[in-house]
Formats: sequence, structure tokens, C-alpha cells
Amino acid sequence: MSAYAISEEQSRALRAAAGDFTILADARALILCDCAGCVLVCTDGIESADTESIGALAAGSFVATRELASILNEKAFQSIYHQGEETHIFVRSIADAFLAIVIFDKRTTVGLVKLYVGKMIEAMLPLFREISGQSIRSAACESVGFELDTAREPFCRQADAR
Amino acid sequence: MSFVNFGKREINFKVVYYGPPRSGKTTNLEYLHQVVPVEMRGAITILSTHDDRTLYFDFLPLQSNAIRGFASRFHLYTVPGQPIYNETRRLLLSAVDGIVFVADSQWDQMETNLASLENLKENLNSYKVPLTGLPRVLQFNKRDLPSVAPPHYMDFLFNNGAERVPALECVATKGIGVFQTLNLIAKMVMARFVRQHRTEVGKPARPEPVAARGV
Repeated sequence: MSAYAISEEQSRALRAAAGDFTILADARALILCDCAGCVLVCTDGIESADTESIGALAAGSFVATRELASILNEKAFQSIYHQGEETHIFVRSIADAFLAIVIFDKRTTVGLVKLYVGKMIEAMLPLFREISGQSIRSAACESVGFELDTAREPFCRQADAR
Repeated sequence: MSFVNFGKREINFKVVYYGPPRSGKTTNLEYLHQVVPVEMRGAITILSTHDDRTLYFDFLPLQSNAIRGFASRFHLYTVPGQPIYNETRRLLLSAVDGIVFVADSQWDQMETNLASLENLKENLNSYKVPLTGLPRVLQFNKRDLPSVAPPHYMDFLFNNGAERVPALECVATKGIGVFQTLNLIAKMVMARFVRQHRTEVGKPARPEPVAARGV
């Protein structure tokens, strides 16, 4: 399997669309990630330390529901909704390759969130399709070389870091 | 499958800790979460049953700066080892970049270890990904227990294919060998990525440093 990539320009476009969405839907935060849980963009409103865990858990949840759908002879379930006491989460599939994870609270309603997520996805679908499977060569806007620093270990212990 | 985000200057890699039940996969991640500096790691997620057996997966994000100009984000996952969760294991192997196979060194666990290794090959086959060529480290865990097989025997049993991979002895509960395992698999995964994508858009190739070569 080869790597895929998102360019700076595409990242900016997604960030702008995500920002607009959170304002329109009055959502707390929006995380866009791929089906493996890797975060593409994330709006403010959620601790950065939590976004990766949320991405991984949402992706895991979604892939489990895909298997559930298969058992029930459904092609796929397009969305998941979890309702909490104060905070809720709505996850929607995008082009079978990405996920939109919306975190919201009592300032808005799930119906409004669904409506604006649908509009956002419809508007951004060509971009998502472009990103899906895009090679590094296509995404790089200039010559890029990857070089591994072999002078030190990738990770160090807390004691070593001091 | 690695993912490069030029907007955030990040490269994302997925490493799965695989192995039979109770071999020490979760213990590896728990130890790493304790000792990796907080600025290089995220929160650990452990989804387990009431008796501390992995139910779905464990997850730990780590960050390294080993590829110049980019943050290398490693997403470490463990799989549930129990036989009934095979479908979950298979799903977690999707788009994997590297595997740490955690084997239990006790004599009476050899068959279980072998069954788990076969299971890994089968699950990778479902994605048409051969085990050969995938960055991989063998970890012989629980070396501190009284009735363990010698390392050369375990190496013979699990490392006897055409492609030999690095094998490390480990006591995950005490952190022995855990960090070395992480650094080794990280270097192998990154070296393979750099090898595959070294020159993009016309930059001339350079000879590969010896230390960066994957096994």
C-alpha cells in the first residue's frame, strides 16, 4: 500500500469549510479524519490532546457499525449519533473514506447538525474525492525530500529528555 | 498506509502490537505512556473488560521528529488476543505500517504463539498484504518467568522464514526491552517510508545510510 497525502491548499480549504460549519451549526467542534482515524483538520473547541483519541475511537466505532450493517444486509450505516447529558457526538461518513465528527451541546440540535453536515459534505465532496488516494507527488506543491535523522533515536524516555 | 499532511507538516504511521492473549501487548503501551515525555505523546485509550483483557483495542499516539521537516506521528494500537475477537483484529490491521509481534516466552504458550502468528498472516491476507516485507519486530516477552523457552529456540520457531526480522527479549512489566522495541519498529517504518518516497518531484536520490535500512 502506498501513502496518500493532503496538500497545504486542500488543508486550508477544509479548515475554512470546517470553520464555517461550526458557526452555522453552532457546534462546539468538528474533526475531519480518514477512516483509519488520522485527523486531517480540527477546529478549535476541543483539546488538541484529545483529537487523536477521538479520531481513533470514532473510526473504530464506525468500522464496527459497518460490520453490523453487513450482518443486517445493509450496504452501510452512514452515520452514528451518541447522545450524552451535556455533550453529544455525531459521526458521518464521507465518500467511504473519511469521517466528519461533530461535537455539540445544547446550543444546537442534532437535526441542525445533520442538515449542515450534509450541506458541507455536498459542497466539499469533489475535494474529498481528490484527496482520497492522492499521491504525495500530487499533493506536494514543491520539491520535497524525506530524510531520516539517524543520529538519534526516534523516541527518548522522560529522564533522557531532561 | 502512511498519510502525509502537508498542511500540518505531519506524517502519520500505524503500528499494531499483535500476539496471543495476555502476552503483554497492553503492558507495552502502558509502560510507554508512563515514560515517553508528555510533549511527545497523547492520551492512552484502553478499552478492556472488567478483568483487564483488551476488549476492542488500546491506542496510544506518539510523536517523533526523526524525519526532518515533519512531525512523525505514530498511532500505536494493540489488538484483543482472545479468539472470539478475530474480526476486530482483522479490522485493526487495515492500513498497518508496522507490526510488533509480542510472544509469551513460557513453554506452555508456544502453540498459542504459533496460532497467533498464523492468524496474523491470515488476517493480513484478507487485505492482500503479505507479512514478508512489512516492517516487523518480534518481542519475546515475560523473560523473567521461571519456565521460559530459550531465545534461540523461540527465534527458530518464529523467525525461520526467508526473511528474518529483529527479535528482542523483553520484560514488559518492568519496561525491559519495551523502549528498544518501539525505537526499532519506528526506525524500520520510517526507513521504509523514506525509501519509498525519498525523491518526490525531482529531488536527486542519495545513498541510504546503513543505520536507516529496514531489516
